[in-house]
Amino acid sequence: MRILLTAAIWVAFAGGVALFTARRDARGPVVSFERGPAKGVFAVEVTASFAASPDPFALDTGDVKAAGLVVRVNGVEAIRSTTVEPGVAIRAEPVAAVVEGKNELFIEASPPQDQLSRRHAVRVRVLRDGEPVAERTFWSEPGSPVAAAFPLDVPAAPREEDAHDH
Amino acid sequence: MNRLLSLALLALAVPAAAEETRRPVIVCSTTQIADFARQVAGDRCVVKCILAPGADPHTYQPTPGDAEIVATADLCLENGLHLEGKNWMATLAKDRGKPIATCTEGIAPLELESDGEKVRDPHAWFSPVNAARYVNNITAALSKLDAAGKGEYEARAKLYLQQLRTLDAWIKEQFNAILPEKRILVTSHDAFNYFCRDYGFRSAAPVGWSTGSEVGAGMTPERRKSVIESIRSFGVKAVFVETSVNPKMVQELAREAGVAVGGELYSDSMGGPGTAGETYIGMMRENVLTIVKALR
Repeated sequence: MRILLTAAIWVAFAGGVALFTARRDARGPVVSFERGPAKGVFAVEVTASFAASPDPFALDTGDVKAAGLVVRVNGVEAIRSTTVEPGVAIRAEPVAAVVEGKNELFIEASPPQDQLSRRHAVRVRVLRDGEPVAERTFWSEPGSPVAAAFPLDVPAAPREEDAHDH
Repeated sequence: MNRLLSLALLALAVPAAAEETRRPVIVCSTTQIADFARQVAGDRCVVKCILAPGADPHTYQPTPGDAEIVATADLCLENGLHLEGKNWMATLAKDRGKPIATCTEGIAPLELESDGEKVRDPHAWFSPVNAARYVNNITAALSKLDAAGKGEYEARAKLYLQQLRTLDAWIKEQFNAILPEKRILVTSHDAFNYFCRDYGFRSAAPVGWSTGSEVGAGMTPERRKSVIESIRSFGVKAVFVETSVNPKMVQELAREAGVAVGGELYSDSMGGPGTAGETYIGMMRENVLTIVKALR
């Protein structure tokens, strides 16, 4: 009798926990924060003050190749270049990963190993329909590559009905 | 009856728990490789090491216990370039039918000339740039073994590679305190060639590239004489013993040449748990500090 009682308590306890977990996970729909792509054609332009070359300390596993310059927009790669000439702009257009609202650009560029003791600069410009909307210059610390992230706010384009005259 | 019920419940619970916590097992030959693998794998894999801290990979004789460890492996990792004397790690993996990855793949090895024969130097991890190659090779091997964890392995590897870069820059800064002509590293065996190449040292060792009996390995009277001559002619302030090699020979050499023993360097094996040299970065840091203190 005691065994049956123990088993019944266990079943009731386990059932209760399972029911709670199932109901908790099945709570109302999650609010979606997905935003649509921003209106216009976006471009990213990068100019380095040095001849970037593949970094010996970069991740390079065969399918991920080491590069001298990498630019990501919201985690999506926009530029990956093994060699970069000093003063020569590298441009990616169109950059489809830009969305309305807050965005983030990440840039990584590695100077040649024999010039690591100096500070180096990388200029980044973001253009919308050919017009610059953001511009920043990043400097490296001696011994390190340039690695920086910067925010980019893209205001929502006015809705068509708002643009009509009444 | 109560006991039977408990056992039945336990029997149901245990396989489910085991299934949930089954992690890939990585068996490494050396302590350095095990450290790199832990940095990349995190808690996603179980990393085991055949060599104990302080053990010599050149002369190591595998035991039946090692074969049992390899039997649990999903992947084996070796240094390669014949660091593991008589290729003992590759043999253990082959005997148990386990896949093996070689961490020095893609590294341009230094060639040592000894007794008219050319030998490829296996101590590639002493260059942080080469250590980055080890980390990349391990990341690729783990990603292939456990594709679901690829993103995690790559993220950890990226962070660790940044630490290796910082280590490399820090070493260069530290050695700036030693005049270039004073940068002569005399150690027990010829293990520091990559290190010397990267940081502008000349190396000298009474024992060849291996402490074992391979071609170009061991000590010869000519090598010993040449090392003593180098110490005297270049005004070397100190010589160094290694943690994985008997210090007696270097101590005798120091006495004969009239120089001090500058300290103990981690070489083919890292330090034990709780020591400053229990990780690769710790081992390199301690070596550099020991060298700077003795040669400055």
